[in-house]
Amino acid sequence: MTAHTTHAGHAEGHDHHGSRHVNPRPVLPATPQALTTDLVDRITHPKLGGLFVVSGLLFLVGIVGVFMKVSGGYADRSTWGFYAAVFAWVLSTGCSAPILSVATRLTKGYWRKPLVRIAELFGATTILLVLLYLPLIPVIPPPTSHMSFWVNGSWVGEPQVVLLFSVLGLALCGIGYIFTSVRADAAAVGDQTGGRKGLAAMLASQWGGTPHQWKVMRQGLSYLASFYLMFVIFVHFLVSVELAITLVPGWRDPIFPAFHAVSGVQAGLASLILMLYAMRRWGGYKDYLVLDQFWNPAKLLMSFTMLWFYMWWSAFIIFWYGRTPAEQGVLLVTGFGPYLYVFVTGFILNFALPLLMLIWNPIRVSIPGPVVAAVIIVIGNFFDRWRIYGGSFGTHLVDGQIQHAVPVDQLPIFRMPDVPDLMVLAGALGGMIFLFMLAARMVPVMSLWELTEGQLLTRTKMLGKNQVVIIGKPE
Amino acid sequence: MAEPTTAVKERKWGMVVDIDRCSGCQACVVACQSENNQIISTEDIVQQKRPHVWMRVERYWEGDFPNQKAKFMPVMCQHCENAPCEPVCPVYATYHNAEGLNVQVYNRCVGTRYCANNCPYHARFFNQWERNTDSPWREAFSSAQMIAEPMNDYLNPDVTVRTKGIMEKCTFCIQRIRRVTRTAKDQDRDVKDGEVQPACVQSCPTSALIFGDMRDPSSKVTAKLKDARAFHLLEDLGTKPSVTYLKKIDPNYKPAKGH
Amino acid sequence: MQERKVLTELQINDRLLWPVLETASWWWPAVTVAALVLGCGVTAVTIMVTLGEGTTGLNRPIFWGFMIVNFVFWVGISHAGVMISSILRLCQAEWRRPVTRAAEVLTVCSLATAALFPLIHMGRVWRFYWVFPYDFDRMLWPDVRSPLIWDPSAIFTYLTGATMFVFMALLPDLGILRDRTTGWRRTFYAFASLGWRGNPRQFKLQFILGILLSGLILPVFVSVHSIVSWDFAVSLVPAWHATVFAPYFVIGAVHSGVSGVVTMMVVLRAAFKWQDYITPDHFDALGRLLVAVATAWLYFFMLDLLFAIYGGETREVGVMEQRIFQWPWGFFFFLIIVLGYIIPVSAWMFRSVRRNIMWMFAISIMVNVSMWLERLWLIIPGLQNKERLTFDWAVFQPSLIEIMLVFSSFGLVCLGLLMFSKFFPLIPVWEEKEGQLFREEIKIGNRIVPAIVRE
Repeated sequence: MTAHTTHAGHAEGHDHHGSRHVNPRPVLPATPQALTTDLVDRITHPKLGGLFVVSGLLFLVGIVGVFMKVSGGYADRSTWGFYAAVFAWVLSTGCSAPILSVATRLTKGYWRKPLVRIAELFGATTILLVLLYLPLIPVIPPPTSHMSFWVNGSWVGEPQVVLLFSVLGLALCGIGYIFTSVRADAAAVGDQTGGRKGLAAMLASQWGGTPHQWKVMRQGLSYLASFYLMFVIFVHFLVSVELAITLVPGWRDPIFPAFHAVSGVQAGLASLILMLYAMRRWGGYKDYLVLDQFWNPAKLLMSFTMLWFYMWWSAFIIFWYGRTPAEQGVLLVTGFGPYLYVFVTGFILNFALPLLMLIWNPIRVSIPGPVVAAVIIVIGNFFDRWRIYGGSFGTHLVDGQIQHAVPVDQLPIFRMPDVPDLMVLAGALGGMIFLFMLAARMVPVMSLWELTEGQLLTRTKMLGKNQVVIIGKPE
Repeated sequence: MAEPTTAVKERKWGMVVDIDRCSGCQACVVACQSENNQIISTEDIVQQKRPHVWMRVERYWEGDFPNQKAKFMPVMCQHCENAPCEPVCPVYATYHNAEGLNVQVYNRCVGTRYCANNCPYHARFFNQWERNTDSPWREAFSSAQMIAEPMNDYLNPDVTVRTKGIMEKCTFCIQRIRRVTRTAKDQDRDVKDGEVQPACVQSCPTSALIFGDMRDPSSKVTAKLKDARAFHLLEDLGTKPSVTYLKKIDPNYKPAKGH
Repeated sequence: MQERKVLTELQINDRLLWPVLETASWWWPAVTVAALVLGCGVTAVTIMVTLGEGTTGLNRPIFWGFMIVNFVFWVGISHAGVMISSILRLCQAEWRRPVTRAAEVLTVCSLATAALFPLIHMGRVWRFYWVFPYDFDRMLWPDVRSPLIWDPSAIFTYLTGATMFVFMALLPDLGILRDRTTGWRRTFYAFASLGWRGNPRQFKLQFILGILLSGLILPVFVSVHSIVSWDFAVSLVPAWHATVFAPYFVIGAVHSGVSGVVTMMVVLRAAFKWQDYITPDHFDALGRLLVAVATAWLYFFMLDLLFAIYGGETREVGVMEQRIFQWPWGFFFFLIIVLGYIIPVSAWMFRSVRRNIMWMFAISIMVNVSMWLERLWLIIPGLQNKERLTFDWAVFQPSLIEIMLVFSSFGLVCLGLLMFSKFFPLIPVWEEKEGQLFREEIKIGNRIVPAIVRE
C-alpha cells in the first residue's frame, strides 16, 4: 500500500500524478504572526451587513410571535405542538452543533482545527434561543393527569424546574467551554489590536501563555467537553420525556431519549456544515475551510443518518411486533395516524434521501454534496420534531385520571401551524444567524491557537516519489 | 397438518368459562389429561416444576377475612386471534387455522421454546424427558416415568403421544372437532350447537364450561359473549383470546390493602 | 510518552512468526487442558440430547436459561474484533496494528461458539436445519417473522464476513509463511495465500478490500446483537419488551468484547513474549475507549431501568423489584454496577492504571464477570415473574449439565485461538512493517515529537 498523494497546493487543487482524489489542506498564512493578523483583520472589518440586519429583523418577528403565542392562551394544549417542535428543533440543531467540537477534541481529530470555534460559537449563541422553553412551562399538564418520573408535589421534583435548571446549566457549560478555548485567542487579538481593551480584555483575563496556563486550559477543555456532551444528552432526555413521552398514555419507550439525542446530533452536524459553508462562501474563509472540513463531518453525518434509522427502527419494531393496544396507540400518535404525511416527509428527509446521497463517494467527498444533504437533514429534522410534538401535544388527557393507552377514537387531530407559529419558526431561524453573526463580530471564529498548533505539528516530506504529510502526535 | 377443506365452514371455535359456576373440582383437568395422552404429572415431575396440565384450575382468594371466598379459574390455551406464540416460531410449528384454532404441529416442532416464553397465559408445555426409562443413565437423572404402567394401556388412539423435545398445549380437543364435523358431513348436515364437546366441557359437573362456534349467532357461546360479566384474560395485551370468562364483579368491593 | 522501539523487518519476522515456525513449550499442555474442558461440554451435550432437556434446570415457565445467557455472552465477546478492526481501520488509528488480528480471530472463535448454543438448546437438535430455507420441493419454508430466523441469518452473515475479514488481512502473512516453510506446510500456505506476491497492485487491491469489508461489516456488526436482543425484546415478557434493548445489547457487547480483547492481549503478550509489540500504549488507548463505551452502556442501562419503573405497570415494576431487591438478583445487580462500571471506570480514569498490564488484566476479567451476570440478570427474572397469572411461577436453578456447558465454552474458544496461533501469526506481520514505515518524528523547538505519515 502506498500513501495517498497529498500536496499543499491550492485548496481546489487536483492531484498532478493521477486521477485519485487529493485531500487539500487549508492554505494558511505562513507564520503564526501573519495568521493572527489575517484573522484580526476579519473581525475588525465585518462582512455581510445586510444579512445581519435582515436576520436581526427576523429575530424580532420571532419575539413578537412568541408574545402573540402567549397572549393566545394556554387553554388548548394542541395549539402549542408546533411551537414545541420549533423549540426542540432549535435544541437539536444549534445546541447540538458543539458536539462535533467536543467529539473531535476528545479524539484529537486533526481536521477539527478550523471548525471547532465555529461549532462552539454557534452552539453557545443558539443556547439563548432555548429560552423559547419558558412559555412552554404552563403548557405541561399537571402530574395528576399522566404518568411521570417525578415525585409529585415537592418543589425540586417539579419537572418544569428541573428542566429549566438543566437548560440553564447547559448554557453555562457551553459558555464556559467557549470561554476556556477563546481566552488565548482573545489575548492574542487584544495584543495585536493595540492593547487588551473591553471585551477582549475580559475574555483574555490574565492570559499570559505560560506552560501552566496551557496545561490547565487543555485539561479544562477536555473536562468541559465531556461535561457538555453529557449535559446535552441529559437535556434531550428531559425534553423528550417531559414534552413528548409522558403526554402520550402508554408510551413506554426507553430508547426515545436516545433517539432524540442522536437525531439532535445529526441535525446539529448538518446545521454546522451549513454554517461552515456559509462562512466559506460568503464569510471569506475560503482558504481556511476546505474539503477536509466538509467530508470528514460528512462521514459522521452519514453514520448519524444511519443511527437515526437504527434508533427509530429499534423502537418501531418492538411496538409493531408487540401490537398491544397501548403500543398501537403510540404508533398512531407518533407518526402513523394524523401526522402520517409529516412523518413520511421527515423519514425521507432525515434518512432515506441523505443516506442515498452520502453513501455515494463522489457526493460525500465534495463540498456541495454534504451541504445539500445537510440542508435536507435540517429541514427533515424539523418535520421529525413536528410529528413527535404535534402528536404528543394533541393527545387528550384527563386531569385526575391516568390512562394507560391512547384510545383509538381519541387520536389527536392534525393541526396546521397558525401565523404566530410561523413567526416563531422564522424568528428561530433568523435568531440563529443573527446571534452567530453578532458573536463573530467580537470573537475570532477561527481558533487561532489550534490553527497555530496545527501548523507547528504538520510537515511534508517525500516518501518515495510521493509527497506526504506528517502529523505530530504529542502526548 | 392437512386441512380437510370440506370440514371448514367459516367457523370460529370458542369457549366460555363461567367462573361464578366453577366449583374447582378438577374434573376437567383429569378429563383433559386422559383424553390427550398427557404425561402423568407425578410428584417427582411436579417437584421438578414441569407438570403438564393443559387445563389447570387456578385458585384465588376474593374478599377479606372473614368474608373470604375461594374462586377457581380454569385456564387453558386461549387460542388467541392475535397469538403471541405464532409469529415467533421459526418453523411454523404453531399457526392459526381457518377455524380460529391455534394449532400445534408436533412433528414440525423443533423445540426452541420461544412460543412458551411468549405465551402470557403459560399455556404451553414442553416434553422435557426421554420417555424410555430403561437406560440406567436415565435413572440417574430422574426416575420419573412419563406414562407409567399400566396407564400406557389406556392411551387415546386418536391422539399422538409426544416425544421428547417438542411443545404441546390444549387443542380444544381437535380430534373431537374433526370427528363431529366429519360425521356431520357424512350425514350431509350442519354441525349442531353443543355437538362438539371437548373433554373438559363434557366432564364439567356444573356446566361452567361451554364450547361452540362463535360465528353461529344462535349458539350458546355467542349468547354468553354479550353477557355483562364477560371479560378476557390479560386483555391489555391485545391478544384477543377465543376463551371468554364470566365473572360477577362486586361494585362495592374495596380491597383492604395492595391488590 | 509513546514507546517507539525501532524494529527491523528481520526482527519483526523473527519475533512474530516464532509461534508458527516453532512450538512453544506450553503449547501442547495448553491444548490438552482446553480439550479436556471442551470434552466436559461434549459429555454434557451428549447426555442432554439423549435424555432430554429434563437434565437441565429449565422448567415451566422458565424455558430459557444458562445456555441462552451464554449464547448472548459469546455473541457479545465477538463484537470486539470488528469494533476494533474496522472502526479503527476506517479512522486510520495507528495503534490498531498489532491488535487487529487477534481481536478478529477472537470474534470468529467466540461467534462460532455462540452459534452452537441455540442449536444444542433446541429440543430436537437433530432437526436444526429446519430453520434454513432448504425445502424447495415441499414448499416448507421457515417463518421469516420469527426472530429465531433473523438470528441464524445475522450470525452466519457475520461469521462469513468476519472470516473474510481475517482472511483478507492474513494474505500477505500467508505469503511470508509460504516462503519460510517446507513440506506440506508450504503446500498449504501456497494454496491459502492465493498466489500472493506482495506487488503494489496486490497490496492496493487488498487495501481496497480491507476498507470495503470494514464499511460493509459495520452494519452487520450492529445488526447481529440487535437481532439477538430482539429475540427477547419482541416478546411480550415483561421487562424484556423494551425498545432500548437493541442499542443496549450492542453497547454492552462492545463493553464486554473490548474487555475480552484486553484479557487476551495480556495473555498473548506474556505467552509469546511480545512486549515490544503489545505495549502499554495499546492498553492506554483501549482503556480510554472503554471509558466511553462503559459510560454509554450505563446510559442505556439506566434508561432501561428508569422506563421499567416509569410505566407504573405492576408487571414491569414487579420484575424490576425482583431484579433489584430479591436474592440473588439484587446481589447480581450490585455486582453488575460495581464490577461493570464503578470500579473499572474509576480505575481507567488514571493513566497509571491504564498503562499497568496486570491492573488492566484484572479489570477486564472483572468487566466480563459482570457482563455475564448482566445477561443472566436481564434474561431470567423476566421469565420468573409472577405478576401476570400469579398461580404458576417457578425459580430457575441451573443443573450441573448447564454449568458444564458454560464452562466448556471457554475451553472451546481457547482451543480455537490456540489452533489458530499454531498456523497463523496472531499479530499481522505486514501491518507491523507498514507501521514502522509510517513512523516519523518531528522537531519543534527543543522537543522531538512522535509523528505519523497521514495516509
